[in-house]
Amino acid sequence: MRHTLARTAALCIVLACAMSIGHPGVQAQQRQDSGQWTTYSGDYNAQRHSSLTQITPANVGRLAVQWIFQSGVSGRFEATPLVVDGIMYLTGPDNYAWALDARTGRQIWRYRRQLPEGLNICCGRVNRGFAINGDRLYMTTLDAHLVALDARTGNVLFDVEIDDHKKSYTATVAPLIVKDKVIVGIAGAEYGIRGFIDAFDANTGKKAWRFWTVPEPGQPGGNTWSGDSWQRGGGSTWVTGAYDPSLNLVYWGTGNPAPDSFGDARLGDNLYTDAVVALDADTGTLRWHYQFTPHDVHDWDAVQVPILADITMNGAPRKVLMTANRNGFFYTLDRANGELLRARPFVRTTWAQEIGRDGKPILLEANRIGPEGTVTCPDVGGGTNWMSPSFNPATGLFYVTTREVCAKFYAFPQQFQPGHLYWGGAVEAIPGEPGYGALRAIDPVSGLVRWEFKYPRPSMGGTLSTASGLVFAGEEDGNVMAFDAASGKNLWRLQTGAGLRSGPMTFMHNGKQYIVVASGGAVIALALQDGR
Amino acid sequence: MRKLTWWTMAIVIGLAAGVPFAQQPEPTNPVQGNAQAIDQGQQLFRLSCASCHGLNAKGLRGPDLTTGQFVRGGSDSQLFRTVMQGIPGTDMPGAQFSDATPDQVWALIAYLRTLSGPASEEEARGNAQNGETLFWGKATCGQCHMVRGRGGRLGPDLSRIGVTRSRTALIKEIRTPSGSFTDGFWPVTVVSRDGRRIRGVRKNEDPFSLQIMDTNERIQSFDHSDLREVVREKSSLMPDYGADRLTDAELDDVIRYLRSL
Repeated sequence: MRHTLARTAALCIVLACAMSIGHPGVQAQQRQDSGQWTTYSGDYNAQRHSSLTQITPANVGRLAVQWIFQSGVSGRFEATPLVVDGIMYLTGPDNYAWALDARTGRQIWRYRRQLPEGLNICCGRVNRGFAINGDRLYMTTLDAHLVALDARTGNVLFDVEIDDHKKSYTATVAPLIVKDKVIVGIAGAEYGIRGFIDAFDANTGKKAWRFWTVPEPGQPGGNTWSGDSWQRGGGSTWVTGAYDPSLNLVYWGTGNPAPDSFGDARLGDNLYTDAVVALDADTGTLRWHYQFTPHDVHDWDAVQVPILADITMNGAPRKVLMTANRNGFFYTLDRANGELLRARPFVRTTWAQEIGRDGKPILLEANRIGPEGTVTCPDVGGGTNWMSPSFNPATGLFYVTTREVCAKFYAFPQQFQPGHLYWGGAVEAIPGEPGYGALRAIDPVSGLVRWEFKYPRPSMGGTLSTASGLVFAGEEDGNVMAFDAASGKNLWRLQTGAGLRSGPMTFMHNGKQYIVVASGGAVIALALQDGR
Repeated sequence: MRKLTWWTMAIVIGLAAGVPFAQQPEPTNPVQGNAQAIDQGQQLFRLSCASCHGLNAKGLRGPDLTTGQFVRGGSDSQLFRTVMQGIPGTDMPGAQFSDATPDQVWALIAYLRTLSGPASEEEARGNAQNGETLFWGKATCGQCHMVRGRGGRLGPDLSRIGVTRSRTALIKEIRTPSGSFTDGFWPVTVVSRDGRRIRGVRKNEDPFSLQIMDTNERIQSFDHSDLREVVREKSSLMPDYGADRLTDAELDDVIRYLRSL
């Protein structure tokens, strides 16, 4: 079959010109329908739900490997690749990045950032992917910079500091393009940073606004921190959020307060940690917030991807935001004002009896931790974690990889020292109780689990939904799997040989629908062998 | 081309002749005794080491680190190497495979130095030679456990058990072996569709398949779809070695032997 990259490149140029008119970010959202994958979660709703229907429950059994890209880089992939006009854009561990021919997996270019020594990185030298705007790619780096690359060459167009890595700031998040801005989050709460969400001008890299996730005294929420604890209060923002163009609101999850476990160092609710914040996309002004875990002592970041959908609740249409939280509860919120509509546990939870009418958890004894240790469920990894959920508007179900694990949590006093781990506690596994994992389908109206598929081990793989009624998921023991979205029946599987830690994605090219997963240091593209 | 100086010539000749020019001194801990580093080391220990060595470092599954005695060597550079590279063939992982920096490992060692005290008198109990005789004889440990190429395969190889288990952990694991199992040794009973039951230890499993070693030491592979049930046993295939099977004195002997491995 003839295929020229020149044709693809020419198309890129045409589209790039087209995208320079109007709001390219909005176009990026719409282009998901054309078989591209242009942003971390597929579109602004962050549903990770594709309109593509070539691969169906009836034919998914014939899914076969088309190509495998071996990156040659050690470490794990947590990125979702982007695909625009036949080119795949991928980031990997240690801020490597690649452009690949999406049809063959062959490399077009490779980028590697020279990173400084001695970075304080709590949880893996990973990256979650690019954002794309026209012919520009944007990625964050482990030394807390935002880098713009030329999509056709990988050349650096600009490189700006988000914040000082010597203050333990680091970045792993895939940026989000909204209109003419690149929105990024930050990481480093385990080293006592003060978190924020930043927006940069997509053309110049100039800072447009900053929203501090930990307010200072005198600002709204500033009175939820004792003493000067706000200065090192954590609240990282390391997973990409969502955007509602009609409300012009950006929704972003925030991470744990610091220190993680020694809550006495920061008395109060510790706003806006472990929350979702709704920000005006143009100014970064806070419109509303909802805090899932006030005064968290279990490292239950609320950075999970918030999914936006329009659903019917109690007979009325509601614009909702849905999230399965690390604390073990599933939440449905009104995304215009943050009103809590539903909250129900989706895994075993022993720290809170329920979420009260005031939106706050009604705490149980197992929430208190100290030097003697307390067994609490879920564990530090949470009922779920950063792995992407998905939502199918047709089934009305929310698909999420869940973890059924408990742990013994300890808290100890700890003085803050710049550059040093700031946890103030310890976490022990329960001997003889390794726990397990499961893919679960949750009804956001009732909060009830409709079906599940169990995994022997707790997993950290994301999910993908397609309009043909399929859910794709990856698990820790190396399987990528397809399920019937309505029933949960397993329809297909492939053992890839390494745990899957990133979210699957799909795209259409030359009439063929591909499913892409990252496994270990490799990226695998799957399609129907005969293209039908 | 630039001329070689006498000095560079000398280096070239020296290297060619295999002459070491300078003995590299063993690195010592740059943060030894530094209060901030010790505090940081304690925090790292609690998060990364306590699950095996205990919150007080007195040993759980892993050995007691407060005795001042380290099997793999107790100098700064030896400890650094052990923490950084782990101990092959044991549960001790290497920090180099995590996000740990060399500075953090030095801080950890600075903390460990604050814990060092005299070796426990408990360690000196028992007679290793008697223990070895019991191991291969009356106690029948060797039926399931291998030591340096001799013995059974169903249980973990114990050739290096002295490096990785404290006396306290060994007592618990011999007297009451059920409760917690090393990966690869979880006891399972596989029930086939026709009701056949096969007992063994789980070598691996994913949502679709299961690999076990049965009690005859055969490796078997199953698809979950072909099985009626997989019973995840709470009890170890190893019996409890209560005082009726092994007196306290005999237990001391066996442990002394194991600690010598």
